[in-house]
Amino acid sequence: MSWQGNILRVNLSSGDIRSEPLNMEWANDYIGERGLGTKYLWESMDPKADPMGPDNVLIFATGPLTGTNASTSGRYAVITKGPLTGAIACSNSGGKFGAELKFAGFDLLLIEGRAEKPVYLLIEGDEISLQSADKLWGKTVWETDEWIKKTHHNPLLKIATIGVAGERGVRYASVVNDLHRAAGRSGVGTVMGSKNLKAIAVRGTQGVKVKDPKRFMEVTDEMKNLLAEHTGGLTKYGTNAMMDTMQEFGGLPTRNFQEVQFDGYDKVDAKAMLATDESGHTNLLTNKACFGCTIACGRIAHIRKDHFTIQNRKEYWHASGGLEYETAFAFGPVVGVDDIDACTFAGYLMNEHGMDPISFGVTLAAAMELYEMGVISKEETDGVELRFGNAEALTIMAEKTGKQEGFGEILGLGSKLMCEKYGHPELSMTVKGQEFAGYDSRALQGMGLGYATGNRGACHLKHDTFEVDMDDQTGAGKAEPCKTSQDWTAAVDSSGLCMFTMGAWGAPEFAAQLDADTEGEWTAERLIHCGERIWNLERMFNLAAGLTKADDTLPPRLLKDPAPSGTAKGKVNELDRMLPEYYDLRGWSEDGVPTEDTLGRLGLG
Amino acid sequence: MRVAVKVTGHLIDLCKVAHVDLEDGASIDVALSTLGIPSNQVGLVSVNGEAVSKAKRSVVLLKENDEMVVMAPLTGG
Amino acid sequence: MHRSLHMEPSLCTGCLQCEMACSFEHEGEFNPARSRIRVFEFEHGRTSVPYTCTQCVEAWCMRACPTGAIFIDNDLGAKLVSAQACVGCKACVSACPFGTIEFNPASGKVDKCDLCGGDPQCVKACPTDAITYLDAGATGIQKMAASAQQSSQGVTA
Repeated sequence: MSWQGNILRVNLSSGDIRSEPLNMEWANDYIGERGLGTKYLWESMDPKADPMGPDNVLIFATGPLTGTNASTSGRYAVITKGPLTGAIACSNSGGKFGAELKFAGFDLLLIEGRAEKPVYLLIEGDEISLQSADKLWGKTVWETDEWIKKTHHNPLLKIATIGVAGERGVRYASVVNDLHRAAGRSGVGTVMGSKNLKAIAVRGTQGVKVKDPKRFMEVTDEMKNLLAEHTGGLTKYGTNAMMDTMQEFGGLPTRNFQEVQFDGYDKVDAKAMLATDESGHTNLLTNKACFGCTIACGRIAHIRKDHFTIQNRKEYWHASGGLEYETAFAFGPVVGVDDIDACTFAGYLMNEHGMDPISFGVTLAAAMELYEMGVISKEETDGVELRFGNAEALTIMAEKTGKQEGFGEILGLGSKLMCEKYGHPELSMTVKGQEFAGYDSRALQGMGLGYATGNRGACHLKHDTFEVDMDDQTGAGKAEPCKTSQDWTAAVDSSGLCMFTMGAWGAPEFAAQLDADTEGEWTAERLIHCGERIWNLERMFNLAAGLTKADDTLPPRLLKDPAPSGTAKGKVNELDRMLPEYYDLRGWSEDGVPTEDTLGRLGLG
Repeated sequence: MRVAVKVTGHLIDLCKVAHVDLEDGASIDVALSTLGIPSNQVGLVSVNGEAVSKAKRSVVLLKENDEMVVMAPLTGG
Repeated sequence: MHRSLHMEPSLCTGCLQCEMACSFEHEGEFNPARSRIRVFEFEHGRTSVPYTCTQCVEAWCMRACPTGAIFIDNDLGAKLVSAQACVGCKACVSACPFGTIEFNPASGKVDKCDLCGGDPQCVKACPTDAITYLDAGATGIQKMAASAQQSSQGVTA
């Protein structure tokens, strides 16, 4: 019911591959996907292990609703210890790969050890093997996808792969599936590369069944109708519809977070993607859905053929994934660039080479600031003028970093290690080593608390205080909505569905779908309780890995340099006010450690 | 009186005008309703660059030539 | 009225709800591998095209079948497969030029679109109307209307 009842355990050191029963007790306590993967991770490894060593464990986890006809049922998570942060890494992706794992009969993949030579995992129904990747090592994500399908005469294989960035240890390398969807953050691709695992290719022919088919079909139908009324601009504009809101609000991080508004925003926002230029070219071609999704926020775009980036490079003349908000922010405002084709091309490179656009963009921004200060020289940057606004610098460096050439090797460290190397750690806009997303927390205060306390480092997706943050640009009353939304988001991330349904569906709507789908009785309360449990388990992992309260902080720029403009002009982030309140609400000590009572209440004692 | 209007995000599909004519001393709520933008679909309104909280939308009164920005709610992404 | 499935790729987002609806209707589970309608993507998803049996009037599959297992439902115009008569020889799979009849290893028979008895589930499941169930004699009417609109200055026919 909803689950196939099996996990696949792969030991890359010994080559042993075996199917095991899914631990249903854990599935029932942790819902699935993020929660279930975290529990498996907790039980399978020492949190102190080297993230790039053989003792790190890499998990691909689906949810109970993955592969069903609930809308947005394509989600899966990649869970491991992150090389960028030294903390738990849980990266979520869509596309088709996750559902295909279910159809192949597996709820979760657990990968241990390290292969002696590069391999890829091939799952064709019950034929499962580790194949030599000697012909794939060094290939891009797109080449790998094509090669595997062709070699195995199976166009229906769904492929999750790393690019050269992951092979060569770029700290924020991603796992890309279905060509342009990704488990993007925290270096989950770096872990895969450190294990000499190039790709996972899967094809399945088993169905996913549900507990109460008649009720399930009725409920998912009803929920789809509800969702259709609440997608906002996602279908038509994609997430980049937010850029002009962030500009007007004054929270759009610009030039390495020195400013909060960018005068070139309207050249790289959703409207710019829809505009037709004088040559008749329009950036956006169409929208696209992940498996099961009735929102279809994905963008498919193309670059002007005469643009400097690709005019002599026909191999990039095809369409591919277009700008989302984060990619647009990371290649636009934060590096001061207003060239939509350059931003789109950099986005292509992120998918082709397998890197997190957010971390790359914010790392490049720090490098630009260091360059403009005279700390990094032109000799070191291979003759490239690393100035804010230089579109060529953006695209050249994106490619160098993907291929790990020249200065790309420095950029591949991530901004924390890079800024430390140059003696300016304060210019790294990160928390726990992971770069911020496109929301400045001097303007969005609760976002700052979420960034500071997020278990995987600076992350905008693990809490949701947008509504209260827009309404009130102070830190007052932000701790409670931050904590509540963190617990709730953990539950959503564990269900197999996409968080972009959260504008339409609350806990009762998720519970109704789960209750018809999987074993046990699922209520809103149970979901939220599981969410809190998941959050605390992630925290426990981090504490065991050696993180402390000192890591729940923000860079000096956000704590000390007031926002220079916008509705929050003059403000700094009020973390010192919000954090103690937050710890208290969480049932944690003043040092941010869950108390015995809290652990007991959550069954984690 | 005439007030300049700018909308962000997908609200562009609800409101395509750049000004709105209102009675003197109209509140933000009145302006939104005149423009046909449901208040619950608005993330934030600012007037001349200053944010106005939801609770104050019925109370803050607009003046001639004010610049009102009506912002869509934010989501993740 | 005879109806046909009509696919409009420009509206398709590749969500695969149709594949799930089809497999659920016929197999009671969500299993795109057993769907009789499939969505194909080209150029990194620039185009997504749902495709299925076009219910040929003079069907190659029917002609090729040695046991007469494929027959016409005259009300629907659908070509249906009789599981009792089907021996799984796959002659129809080879004969169909479009690839829309397929062998099912689990059942040992062949599967194809049967229009769900006149209530096609893929149509209901599609969130964008990329798949519709139209008057079989007028499936091109929208295209013709679009052309007519372009030709308002006059056309020589």
